[in-house]
Amino acid sequence: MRTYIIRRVLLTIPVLFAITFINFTLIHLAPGDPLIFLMMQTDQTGGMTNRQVLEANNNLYGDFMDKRRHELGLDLPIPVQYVNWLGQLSHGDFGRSMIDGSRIFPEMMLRLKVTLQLTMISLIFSIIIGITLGTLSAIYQYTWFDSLVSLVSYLFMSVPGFFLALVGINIFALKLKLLPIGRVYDAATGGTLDDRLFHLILPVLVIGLSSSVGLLRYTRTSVLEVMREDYVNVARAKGLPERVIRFRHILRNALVPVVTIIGHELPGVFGGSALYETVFLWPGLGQWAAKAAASHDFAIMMVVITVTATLIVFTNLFVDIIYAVIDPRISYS
Amino acid sequence: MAVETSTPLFEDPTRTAQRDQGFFRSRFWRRFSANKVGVIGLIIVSILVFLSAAAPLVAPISPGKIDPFVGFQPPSATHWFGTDETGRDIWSRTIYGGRISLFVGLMAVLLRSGIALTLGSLSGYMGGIVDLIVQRIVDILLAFPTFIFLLILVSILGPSIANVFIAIGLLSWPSEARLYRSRVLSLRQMDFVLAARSIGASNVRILRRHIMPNLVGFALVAMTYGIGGAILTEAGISFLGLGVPPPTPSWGNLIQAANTLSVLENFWWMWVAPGIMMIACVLGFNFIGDALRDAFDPHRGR
Repeated sequence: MRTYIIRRVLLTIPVLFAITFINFTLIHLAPGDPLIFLMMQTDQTGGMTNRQVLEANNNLYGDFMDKRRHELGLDLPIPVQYVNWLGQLSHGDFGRSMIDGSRIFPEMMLRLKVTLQLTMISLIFSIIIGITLGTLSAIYQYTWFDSLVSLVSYLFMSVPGFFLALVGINIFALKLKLLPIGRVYDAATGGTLDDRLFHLILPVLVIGLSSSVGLLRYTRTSVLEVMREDYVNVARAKGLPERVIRFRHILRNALVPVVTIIGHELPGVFGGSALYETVFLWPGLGQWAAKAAASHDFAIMMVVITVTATLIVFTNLFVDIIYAVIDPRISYS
Repeated sequence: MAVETSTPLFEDPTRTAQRDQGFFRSRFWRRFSANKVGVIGLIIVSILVFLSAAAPLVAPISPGKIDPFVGFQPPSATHWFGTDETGRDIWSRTIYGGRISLFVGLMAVLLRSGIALTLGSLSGYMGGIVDLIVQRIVDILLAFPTFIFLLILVSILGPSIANVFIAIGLLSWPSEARLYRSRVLSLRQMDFVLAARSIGASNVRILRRHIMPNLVGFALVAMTYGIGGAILTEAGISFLGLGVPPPTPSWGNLIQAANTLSVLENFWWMWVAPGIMMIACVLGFNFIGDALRDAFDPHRGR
């Protein structure tokens, strides 16, 4: 067990290097000079192509362009830039936005906080919903309850989360005026706990329900499989009460593989935050990534994807270790 | 060749299936058509494919026709799904948008499954260093927040219909490749593969004649679910304004209208209509996928 955990921890190191390297090269292989986009923000460039803008700017402000490029370190070879960038990251220097030149790190920490609040609470909610409904519909297989859950989960699987969010806002915020349209808190209250929780209701409901479907179906299948195992028959033949069989024999065994699925949900949850946070005006990392992608701010995109991918790698590491601890059937040598 | 036609000692399931003559009498079709959900899915998808194919006939108003005098009209006899802010017909735009969305979904899935099938089966069949490399690539790609990675890729490639499906195809294959790999790993142990090898069949021949045919069912199921998934992904990218570039309608960039609060509240038909059409389409593909999975599963009763 210990060697397995040590090996698993060591394996994450090359993965992290690969992730940072892919992000870095990908963004630096992007066609076009990031400076073009910097210039396009400030100049009136109606009808001109990127190249024309670059040439015009080069002619007009050639020295300035070179100076900016040098300041941003864009004139060095890519491997050197990568190593420099890693060095900066280790000092907590995440660089500056390519559009407005503001420091990325302070804003990233603020956004990371609100993103984690939203995604973690939604994830916990979806786990509760998914496991409870999945287990119940397996135990009551072929009843009206099971059919209803299957039908609704089918529907939710086909409805994109952001559409559900739009419908939710339309009904609960705009028509019924019960819940806020979005945002983390109301500026008028200054962000009291009550107000923050109030603003979480709709996003957590939408994201939680939308991402619980996969977990629900997986739990249902897993519980159904375990219910057919010999040891369940044995437990029943022994005359154990149904309650004990369900909790001690079925549920405990069925939920072991479900743990890994929770780890697999993360890329979807973090990725989807780009859409949810845009719809709910939630100033998190996802919304930032969407904005940066639209304005071609490669510096911000690179930071957001590196930070979220790192979070996913560590959470999966955590999930795998838990899995090794709770599943006695597999021996890790 | 003579060995192949002699009495099979080791039954290869695809060989047996081929003996059934005619598609509508095949065991596969009997099992599929007995599944109500699958038939409903097939009907939904057929209708949507027909509407897209016959778009100029079923939607006579051009999707790009601007008429400022009839902007923001609710559904009526002339404009079945109403009009948008510049008076363009939402029904036309939804039908023409379906063309784009279905096309993007199909192309993305072809690319995705092509990569997944090649890398997954090679990785499972060859093992060793090939397997190691492919699996590490899969591990790394699965650690990325897929949708954010997609946004970055699309932002780098630039907005166009082709770039959307290329980006989706390039980033979504790892989970599917894993599926094929584990299937090939178990197929490799089968007696009919051993039999083929014992009569001197080459690796290429075994892969082509004995492994691949047994992956067809799996691949069809994965591709059917995949089209639905790709359509949803395209909608997400286009909703953020980074996908199919605006004058061309797609279900995603039609729903994007709802990003404006006044449209979201007052002009619901602008985003609900394409949204429902898209959900119906994805639901249809999911239904078909489920029915296909059941029909191909040899462990289920006929």
